[in-house]
Amino acid sequence: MSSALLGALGVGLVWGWLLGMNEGRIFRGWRTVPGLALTSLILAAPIVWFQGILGLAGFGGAAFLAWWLHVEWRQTLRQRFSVTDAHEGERS
Amino acid sequence: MSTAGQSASVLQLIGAGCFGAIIGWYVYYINRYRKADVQLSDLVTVIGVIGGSAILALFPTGTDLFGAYGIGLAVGFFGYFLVLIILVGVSENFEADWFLDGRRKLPDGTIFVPQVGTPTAGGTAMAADKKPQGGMQ
Repeated sequence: MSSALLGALGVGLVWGWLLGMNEGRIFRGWRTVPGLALTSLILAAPIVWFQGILGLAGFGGAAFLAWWLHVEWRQTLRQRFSVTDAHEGERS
Repeated sequence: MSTAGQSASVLQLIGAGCFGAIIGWYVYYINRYRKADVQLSDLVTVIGVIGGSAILALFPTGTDLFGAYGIGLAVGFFGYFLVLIILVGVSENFEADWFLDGRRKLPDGTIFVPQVGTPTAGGTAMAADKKPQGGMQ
């Protein structure tokens, strides 16, 4: 595995974790979800350009893994401590 | 500047890794103290910080320098998270639910739940939403 691919994995892990923080807090989905997808594409574009499909696969796989882990962790905490949306803030 | 055809020295790799670690640490820090809901401008800023043109000019994608930067970025980012987990674990005033909305135990024993728009001393784990005023439970 090339070190450049490891770099794509690292960036993907960070980006996926940041996306995961939106779990339960996407209030205007019609605007937020496309925005998140667009910004992910912007971040992925240079990786695809320079590293090809392998870099994209590494970035996407790492991002998905980190996003999934973060979402699962937050949902586990929410159930464990019975934290509801009302506690976390009002939706607008 | 190193290109894909050049190999970077060990010192350059260490420097790129440390630079990435600082950026990763700071990205977590910025998100922790963000007071409002996620905005597109926030995401654009984060993209600019972790993978923008300035970063790619310094560490072109496909080079070993970018690899070192990306690894350092993840180490710094998740290192901050690990430190938070350790500090919350050893503290008697915080439990893991602090990671959800920043709630904590006050000196008088009551539980303070930060609300939207209320700046919280110490922030939250990851930019929790808050209501206009704080509240006790």
